[in-house]
Formats: sequence, C-alpha cells, structure tokens
Amino acid sequence: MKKTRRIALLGLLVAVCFVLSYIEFLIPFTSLGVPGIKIGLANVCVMAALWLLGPVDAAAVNLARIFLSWLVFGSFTGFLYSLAGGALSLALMILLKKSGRFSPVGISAAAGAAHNCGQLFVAAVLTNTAALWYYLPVLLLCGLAAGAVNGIILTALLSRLHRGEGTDNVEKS
Amino acid sequence: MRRFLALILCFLLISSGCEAAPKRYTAAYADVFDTVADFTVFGGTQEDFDKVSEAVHSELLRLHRIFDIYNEYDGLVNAKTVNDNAAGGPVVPPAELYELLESAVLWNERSGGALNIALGPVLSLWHDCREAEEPYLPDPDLLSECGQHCDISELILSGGSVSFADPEMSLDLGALAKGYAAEKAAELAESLGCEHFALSVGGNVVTRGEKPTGMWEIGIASPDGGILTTVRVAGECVVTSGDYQRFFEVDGVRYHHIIDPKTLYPASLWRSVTVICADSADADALSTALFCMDFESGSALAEKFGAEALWVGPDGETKRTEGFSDYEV
Amino acid sequence: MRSRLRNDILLISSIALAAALIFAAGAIFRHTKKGETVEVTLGGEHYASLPLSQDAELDIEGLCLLKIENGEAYVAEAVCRNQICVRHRPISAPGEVIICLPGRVAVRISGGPDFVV
Repeated sequence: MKKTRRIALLGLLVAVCFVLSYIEFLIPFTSLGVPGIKIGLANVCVMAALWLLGPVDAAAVNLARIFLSWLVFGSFTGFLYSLAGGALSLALMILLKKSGRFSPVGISAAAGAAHNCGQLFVAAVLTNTAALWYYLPVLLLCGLAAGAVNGIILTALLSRLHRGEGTDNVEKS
Repeated sequence: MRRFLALILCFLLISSGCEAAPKRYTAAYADVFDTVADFTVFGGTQEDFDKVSEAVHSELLRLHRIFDIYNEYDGLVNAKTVNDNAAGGPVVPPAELYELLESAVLWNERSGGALNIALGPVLSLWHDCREAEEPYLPDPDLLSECGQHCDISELILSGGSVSFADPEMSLDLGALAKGYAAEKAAELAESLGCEHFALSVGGNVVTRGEKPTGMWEIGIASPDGGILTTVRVAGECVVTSGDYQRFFEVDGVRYHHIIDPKTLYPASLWRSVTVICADSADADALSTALFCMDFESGSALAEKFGAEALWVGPDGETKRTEGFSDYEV
Repeated sequence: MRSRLRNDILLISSIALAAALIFAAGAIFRHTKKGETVEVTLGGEHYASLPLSQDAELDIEGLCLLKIENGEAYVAEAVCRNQICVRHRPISAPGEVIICLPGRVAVRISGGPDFVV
C-alpha cells in the first residue's frame, strides 16, 4: 500500500474512532443493568487498522484514541484505565490474529475480556484494593459479549470493504 | 514486531505502576513478661523479617530477665538481685534497670503517689493470694504491716547504684516494665531498618509507620467482653490497664491486680483506663497511674504529657480526654 | 472456516469457564460473618473509617455519599456519570468492596482491629 494511502487511512480510522468514543461517552450503557460495561465501539476501528494495515498501525490508532479521549473528556485515571485495557487487549488480538486460528469475532471477544482485565488491574492498584477481583467474573463475561458484538461489526465491515476492492473504497468515501 | 511487543510491555508496566503491596510478616513470642508478645511488620523480605524478629525477641528476653523479680539468672544483676541485696548496700544494676527506676521515681512524683514501684511487699502478698490453689484474701493486719514498707523515698539511687534505706522494702516493676521493654525493642527494630511495624507486649502496643491500607487499628476491650471502641494510630502507643486482665474471686467478689497505693486494695475507681501517647514507657506508667487517680487529676496528668485517655467507670460509663475521640474510628 | 468457528467457541467458552470458576471460588470463600469497620480510601490513601454497627452518612469530598444502615454500607449518591457504585448492592462482609472508579474512592469492609488491648 502506498504511503499516502496508509496515512490517509490511518487518519480516517483515528477520526472515526474518536467519533465512536464520543458517541459512547454520550450514551452510558449502565442502563443494561450491569455497571461499568461499555461496548467499546471504538475498538472496531483499532481492529480495522489491525486487519487492513498491521499491528504497528493498530497500536498507533489505539494510542491516538486514548490520548485524544484523555485530552478531550478524560481524567488522568480514565487515561490509565484505557491505556492498560487497550494495551492488554491489543497485545492479545495481535497474538491471536497471528496464530491464524480464530475469526475476528473470537479474537474480538477475547480482546474485550482482556480489556476489562487490564482496567480492573489498574483499578486494583490505584485504589489499593486487592479484593476487587471478585468483580472479575462479571467483567470477563461482559467483555466477551461486548467484544463479540464488535467482532460481528468488524466482520461486516471487512466484507464490505473487500467487496469494494479494499481500501480504494475507503479513499473514495 | 519485537520492538512493538516491547512497546506494549512498556505500557503495561507503566500502567500497572509496578508496585506490589508490601508483604505482612508476623511473629509471636510466648516467653516474655509472663504474657504474649506479637510483632507485625509490613515490607521487606522474609529474611529481613527473620533477622529483625530474632533481634526483637532476644531484646525482649534480655529486658524480661533484667526486670524479673522472681528469678535469678547467672551472671546477671536483675531486679531480684536488687530486691535481695540492696538493703545491705549499693547494688549496680544494668543501665536499663537503673533508667527504669529513675523514671519510676519521677512518675511517682508526677502522679502524686498513684504509681509506686516500691509497693513490692504489698503486691507480693496479693500475688500469693491470687496464685494460690484456693485464692484467699490477705490478712488485713499483715497487709497494713506490709504497707509500712512501701515508701519510695527509701529507694536511694545514686550514680548508677541502688540501695534500700528500708531493709523490708522491695520493688515490683510490673507497672512499667512491659511498656519500657516494648519501647526499647521498637527502637531496636527501627534501627534495623523497620519502618512499618507494630509490637504488642501484653497489651502494650507500640506502632511505627502505617499499614499499606492505612493506620493501625487497636481495639479497646470492653471490661465485660467485646470491643468497646477502636482507635487508629500511626506511630503512637496504646496501653490499657483493666480490672479484667488479671484477677481472682473470693465469695463472688472480684479482686484484680492493680493495687491502689493508698488503700492497699484493688483500685475501684475505674474498670479500665486506656492511654495513647508517643512513648510506650510513658503510656504504661500513665495507664497504671490514671487507674488509681480521679478523672480531674488524671486528665490533668495526661494532658501534661500530651497523652489522651479513655476511662471506663464501674457502671460502664466512659470519660475521655478532649483529643481521644480524634483517634477513634 | 469450520475449525476457526470451533476454535472461537473453544476460546470464548474457556474464558467464560474461567469467569465461572472465579465466581465459584468467590462464593465459597465469601465470609458470611459481618465485618466491623467500613474503610474509605481516596486514591489509595486512607480517608475515613466508620463502625458498621452505627448508622451514619459520610460525604466523601463531594464525590459520593456513603451511607451505613442496619449494618450495611452502600453508596447512596455519586457525582460520576456511570453511577456504578450507586448500583452496587450494600456490603457488610469483611473484604467486600464498592469502588467508584472516576473518583478513585474505595469503600471496604474490614474485619476486626489489628490488636485488642
């Protein structure tokens, strides 16, 4: 892929990513009855970068998203949570994708669980509360569900992009 | 790819802060001051702790022997040696014993006689009554006879040597020894690099630093069982003197171990007195003194030494110095 | 594709199984006895501690309102958006925690004191 295309695609993904973060910021998902759970739609963009471009670009999109969120509506603690969750889930996604044995839905589901694990770990350190682990099962299950939803969206996205001859489609839009 | 993984790893390390909570180590020694001593440390390694714990234990044992009035030890001039020989001429005890006696004389003055380590003849009489298979009450005549030989001004301290002007006198360091020993052992632990620890010698709790989760929590026992209140401290000492700690019963009446120097009978003003202050030796002395003093003079004495106190009266009613509730949970 | 689907199912169900095991372990080791003290920490630092036995209200730096009622502690109000802590069920057993992440407030039930004198 040409360098300019790659840069353009990256910028686009970061922008969409940021918009999705904002949308989620506007719609809290606590109404689902399980506190602390988000779908994490922005992760679709990170995954798109991973599938279309590669691990380094995915990390770039992820970092850009986390920093932007911090600057615009985040607190520093929120930044730390995102960083830990984002880093852990991305690392897992890269590993699982490299193995070639899992579909986007499976990878995304596992990544969602990993994301919540990372956040819980930071929360346990920041609040100096080791006993937080009893909250882990709920977070794991919700991470799985949210991740699976993201995976389904990603699958749909990828198949549409590929049908329109790859990234050309993205460029036109 | 490798560089990328390294990057991820870095983020994980940064975001985790790399801090594991300090570990907790505890030891208990059952052979000091006829009670149990507990030593709790946060931080460091097991090896560090074992070293400090051994040092603290042997320091407590050493002081226990020095202040022991019942047993002799080879090559050691201790409180029993002083009791047995000081009437015949000056005895030179270890520096710790001399220092404790000096502070005991001071506390006797400060408390207006409420704390008296020269009460030995009376205390040993009560001790025999309590430890007997069939506990009994001391003979009142014998008791007042013993009371004639409890004048601390007959204790002569000069240049490191101890002598008794009254040949019948004897010392009992029970009111001070544990608090003093706890303070010394804590200083030793500190000098060995411990920063966050608590040492309890038979209810004399010395704290230094804090736990990782916050201050140390010391429950104050209710005389009738359970916990009356809980205080939080970080660096202070907490001591309680209570009528429920050591006692015996004759005809359903309870006789406890804190003898009022004025009446020569168990003090009956309070059921328990708790003292919080910076120094464990002071705290121990104060709690015993306050136990035999009324609220007004007791709280004045506590205030003079920057100590806070909690009194539990005969009917369970409580009184506090002004600052005590600041420590309460 | 078939084997990918199988792997996916395997992956997801093993994570779900791990969650179930942690939950079961938590249920087994959960103390049934009540704790004694409600510890509040703010950003990891001790902020306050209250007896669980006494009904009380504590305003934690305007971040949330802690209430203790009938031997149970819960967060009645919080200024954060997600209201996670407010939805948490009341806690009373030693080790139970309510966390308000945005405020870095932790409400923990502790057992007895370190020493009793």
